[in-house]
Amino acid sequence: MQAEKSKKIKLSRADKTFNILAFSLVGIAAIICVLPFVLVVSGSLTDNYVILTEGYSLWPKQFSLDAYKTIFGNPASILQAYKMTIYYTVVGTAAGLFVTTMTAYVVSRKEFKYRNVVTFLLYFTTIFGGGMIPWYLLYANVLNLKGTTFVIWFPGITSSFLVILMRTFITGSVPDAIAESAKMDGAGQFTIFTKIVMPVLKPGLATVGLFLALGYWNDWYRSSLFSTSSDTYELQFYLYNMLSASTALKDLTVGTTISIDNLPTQSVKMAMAVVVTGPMLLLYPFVQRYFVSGITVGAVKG
Amino acid sequence: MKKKVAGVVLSTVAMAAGMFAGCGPAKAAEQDYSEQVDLVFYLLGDAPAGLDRVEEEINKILLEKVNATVDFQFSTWTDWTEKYKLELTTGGADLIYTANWNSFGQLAQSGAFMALDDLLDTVSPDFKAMFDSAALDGCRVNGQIMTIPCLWKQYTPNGIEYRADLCEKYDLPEPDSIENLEAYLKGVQENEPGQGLMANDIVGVLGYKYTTRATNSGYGQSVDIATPQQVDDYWFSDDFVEDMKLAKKWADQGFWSRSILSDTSDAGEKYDNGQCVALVFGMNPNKYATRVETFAATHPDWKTAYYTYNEKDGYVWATAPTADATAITRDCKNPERAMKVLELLVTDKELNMLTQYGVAGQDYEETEDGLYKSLNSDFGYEGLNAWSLRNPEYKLPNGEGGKLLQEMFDHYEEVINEKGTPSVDPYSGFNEDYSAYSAEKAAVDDVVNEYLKPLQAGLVEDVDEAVATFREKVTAAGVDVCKEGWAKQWVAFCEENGLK
Amino acid sequence: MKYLSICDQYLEQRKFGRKTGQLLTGAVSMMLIVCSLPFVDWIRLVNTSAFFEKQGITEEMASTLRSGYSIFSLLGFVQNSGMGALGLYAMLLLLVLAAAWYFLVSYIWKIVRNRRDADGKGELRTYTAGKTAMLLAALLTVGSYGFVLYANDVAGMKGFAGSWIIGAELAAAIAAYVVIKRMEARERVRCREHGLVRELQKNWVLFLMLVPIAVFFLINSYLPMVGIYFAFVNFNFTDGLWASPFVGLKNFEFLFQSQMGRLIRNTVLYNVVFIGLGNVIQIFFAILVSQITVKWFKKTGQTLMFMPYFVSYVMLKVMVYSLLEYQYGAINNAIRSSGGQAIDFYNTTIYWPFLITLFYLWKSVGYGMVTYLATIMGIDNEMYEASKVDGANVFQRIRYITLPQIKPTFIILLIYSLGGIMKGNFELFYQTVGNNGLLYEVTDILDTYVYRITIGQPLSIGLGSAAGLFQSIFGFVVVMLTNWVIRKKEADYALF
Repeated sequence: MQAEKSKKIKLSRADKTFNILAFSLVGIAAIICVLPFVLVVSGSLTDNYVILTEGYSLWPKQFSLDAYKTIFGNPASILQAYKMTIYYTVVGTAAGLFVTTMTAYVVSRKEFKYRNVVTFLLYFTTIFGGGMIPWYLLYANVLNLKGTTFVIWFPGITSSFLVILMRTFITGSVPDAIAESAKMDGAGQFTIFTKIVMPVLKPGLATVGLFLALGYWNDWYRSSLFSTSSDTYELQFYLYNMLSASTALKDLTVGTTISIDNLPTQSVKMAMAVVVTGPMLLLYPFVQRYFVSGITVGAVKG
Repeated sequence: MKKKVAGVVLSTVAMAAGMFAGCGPAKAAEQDYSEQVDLVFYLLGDAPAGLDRVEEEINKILLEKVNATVDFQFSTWTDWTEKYKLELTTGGADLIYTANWNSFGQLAQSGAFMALDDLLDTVSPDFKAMFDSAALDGCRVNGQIMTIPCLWKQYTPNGIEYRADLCEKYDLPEPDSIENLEAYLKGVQENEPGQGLMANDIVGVLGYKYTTRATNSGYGQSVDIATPQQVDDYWFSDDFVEDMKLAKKWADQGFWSRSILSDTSDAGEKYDNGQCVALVFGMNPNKYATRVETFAATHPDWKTAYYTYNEKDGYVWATAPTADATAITRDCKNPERAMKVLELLVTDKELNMLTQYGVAGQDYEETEDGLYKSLNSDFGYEGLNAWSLRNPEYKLPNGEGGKLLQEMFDHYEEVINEKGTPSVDPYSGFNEDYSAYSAEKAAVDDVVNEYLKPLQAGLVEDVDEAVATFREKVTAAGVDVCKEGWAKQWVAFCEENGLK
Repeated sequence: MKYLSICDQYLEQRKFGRKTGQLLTGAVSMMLIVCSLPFVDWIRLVNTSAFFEKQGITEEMASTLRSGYSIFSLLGFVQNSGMGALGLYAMLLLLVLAAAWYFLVSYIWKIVRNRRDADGKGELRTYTAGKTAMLLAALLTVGSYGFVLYANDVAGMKGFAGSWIIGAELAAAIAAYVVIKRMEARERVRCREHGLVRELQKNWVLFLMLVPIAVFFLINSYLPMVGIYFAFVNFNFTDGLWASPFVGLKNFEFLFQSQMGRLIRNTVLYNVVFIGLGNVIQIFFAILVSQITVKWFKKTGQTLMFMPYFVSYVMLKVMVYSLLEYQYGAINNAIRSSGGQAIDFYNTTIYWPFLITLFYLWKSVGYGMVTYLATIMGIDNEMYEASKVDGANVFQRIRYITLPQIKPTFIILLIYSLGGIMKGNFELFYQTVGNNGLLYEVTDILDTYVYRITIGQPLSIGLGSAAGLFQSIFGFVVVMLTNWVIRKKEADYALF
């Protein structure tokens, strides 16, 4: 009895030490990580001239909304870009999650004879690539998809990494025995996939979904190549292109006579980051539930 | 080999033909417009919001005149160099904007564009007659005209932009020489401690010293205008050591930041915000004129001024004809119609005004003194970025800045006439073909980045030692092969064009 | 049909039927290899003088051309004749030849070794190799004949002719295929295994579920892979993408003439540090966060750590520059005001490996942590409860439950990052350091170098592709080795 008790006290001391350690380290890391972002937000609200001459500060030295005025200078265009990006993100992530999980399920099934071959063929695509030109030629000239919305979201629906990541989640959370017994009960593969695997896969779905959504949200390259009108621009491209225009024109005017326009570049850069990040930060807590629930340790539960 | 020889023979024949054609005005061959042709015109930059509207107006006229339409497509400014190449590689455009600062020479040499000599003679002889023959010659690659230059003559002589108000305030000399620039910078430094001075290193400053240079190769060779066929070896000369010592001296005096090699911010923006007081690199009258307007709006008490390095020698050449030009791509299916459309877009007043300013009364209006006035629509000044189509006859200067610029251009023209120097840079048509020594070139470029840039920024401990190291490294990288290859081509170019 | 049954009878009845079949097909394999060696000509040039004239091949060039070609020397012909349009086809043939050789040799090796696989699959692997080899050999011969037709079409005249060897090889390959197929069928019965058709019938739903991904990767990855061919050409606009002159390994030579040692060292070392430190720190923080009991703290901490993902390297650079700049930078200002000597960060190499690693970690820890965190969430809670009842403390629980459970995830992430060991994080290096030659010694990686030599060069498609191919092959070899080692040790964790 006595021995038991002392052991328990000892245990909770180890836990306590760990908790203190965890709290302080995570706290410090969080502060280090968020500080530059605070600088960004503050910079976005500071007068461009002040940033250039006095540098960044945690609180705007001279408050100014110019950067946001520049970005929202054409509200219809930026709203359209927001709308399109939400569309790409939702459609792409949904399609992507479906395809990724389905493939991951197949390559996780031990009874599937060719699962290693398929995995290899998937992996091969991450290492070898033909570069942008043939890829562009195929979409733009052969499939004639330039200017469509399909070509903006389709190339991003999955990657071999996400499939394999999902495979580890499936093998981790769905023991073979469960799938086997369901099969004995006469369930088809597709039924097992939708009824048994999908429901217990929440952390995996959340992770892959998050990666997919971030990928779509942050993409500008496909718009850069394939968009033919500002109606289909992705948000990141819309903003990025605004900056590119200002720097490009400044570079170009060396050898010829071209009119230049002026952008408050520093503060606009910062404001863009805020404009892009905002919606994602609102979304994150919803996804996050699946990363932080599940385990309950020590005192809270006991 | 045979192919190449044939090419040279062909081009010589073409040149000869061109010369004969130049003797008397040729007559345009009758064109067949019965079939409608839809052309694509690829331009740099962003499409204006009002593109569809203006394009429709343009096409109404084009359909009526030559039964053709033009679809203006744009690169956007994001990765525009990459996408420009991609457009040429994958085909699609008929007409395309070209520029020497966008690899025109290499692209043309590699066969990206169509040779236009015959087309000009058969389809648009009147259009051809509007150009200086020197300007057209500047657009020749391997003897053939590869692009149609801009009719509007521009001047982009390098110079220094400095703060005239500071000169006045502290009684400092106008920086019209290296010594005076040093005095000016020192004066500012003494009077306003902590004030940033320059945002560039020594390279731009040397513009004062070498005003009669015809060209520089990428391998440290220089050529003087007086003796174009004599190629000097600048990197291995005493001048070079002297210049690098000057760089060190200025760097030590704190004229520019010691972190300059990693500074990617825009020098002009620093000047706009008063973080530096002299811009010495990549400046031109257009930038200056724009800034005069900017300052008037943001810092009316500041005054910027411009000094052109080689004005006193009279070598203020007009901008190279290839700097703003339009070519027909090799994939174009209807080159005749494309040429005709190009001619109309430049020479037809209504069409030209549409491409440059949009619809009169809706997008812009002309002020009493002949200036452009925006009506704040969705189509701005030179809204299509079709800079190569600018026609001096119809051109409207953009407000006060535009007026100032035109005044400067007129002034340069006067200088040229006074000194009797050629108005078009006779050397601008030179295109280096380094395919035979591209590996050496890449290695030399790397040595330049690693060893020459720090010298030019004055960041080395001992200049003599650093120069010796640089020379050793650049020789090891194979600079001699490059020098030989370049000089050979250069001398051949001079011979061909009678430059002695 | 009759012959097939005779064949079957023979193989079945006689005790050494299997041996004979293997001997026969093995001999065919040997013959196929010998016949595809460089000195056996498959394709001949005919009407040479007319042909050379039409192609604009000069005397000088013609002297380097031979009259007959094997698949090996075909590319030499393409290179020397300047007929770039044939390059891609010839390259594909060479690839098929390489694959055929690999399987032919492996088939012979397996016959010679004569070891029945322990996992109850008997000699099925041997026969699979044999079948694949014969199919590839057949494909090679058909492809070679197709090449003759195609090349004549490109040339616009009859300049090429196929040798009788092509036909002979095709016949031999088909015959050998049939024999192996029969032997395989018997072995299958013996091992109670089934082939593709049976698998298709049994698991058709699974195959059907793979259709979307197959379409996707075909369009997005496999078809565009023809672009790898550009690594071997010297692009020009006159000939276009598919007919530019084939230059062999010249683009690679060009790359390797540079400071390749330094570039490879920097690229690999940084990646090793990034992979090692990155994963360790991600796992470390994932465990910490997962164990925190206060919910709001857990959530906020994790969200905040994720924030750097949204700060691009361009912005990071701007802020870092304003910290580290020599004259006005915040750090040097602080040092000066406390009477110290200012630090010349941007001209001193020693700081940069640390700074760059720091930037990388800062930006990637929150993002990379998500994967591990999700894996930990997936661990069955009962395992923890049970261990608690057994009196394990938190460190023991981490050591014996958490770490083993995240091992598969770690290995997958490891293999994926190893595949890119020769690929650098371009943005990180280019944006934070800029094109600062003074720091090349420690900051120049392959990607920044290639960017430098190809930017503004409209004709550098070949160089870029060559660099990419080099990175791919290097990564591929590393990954295959790693995967092989893992499979030997713990087969369950291997990627494939």
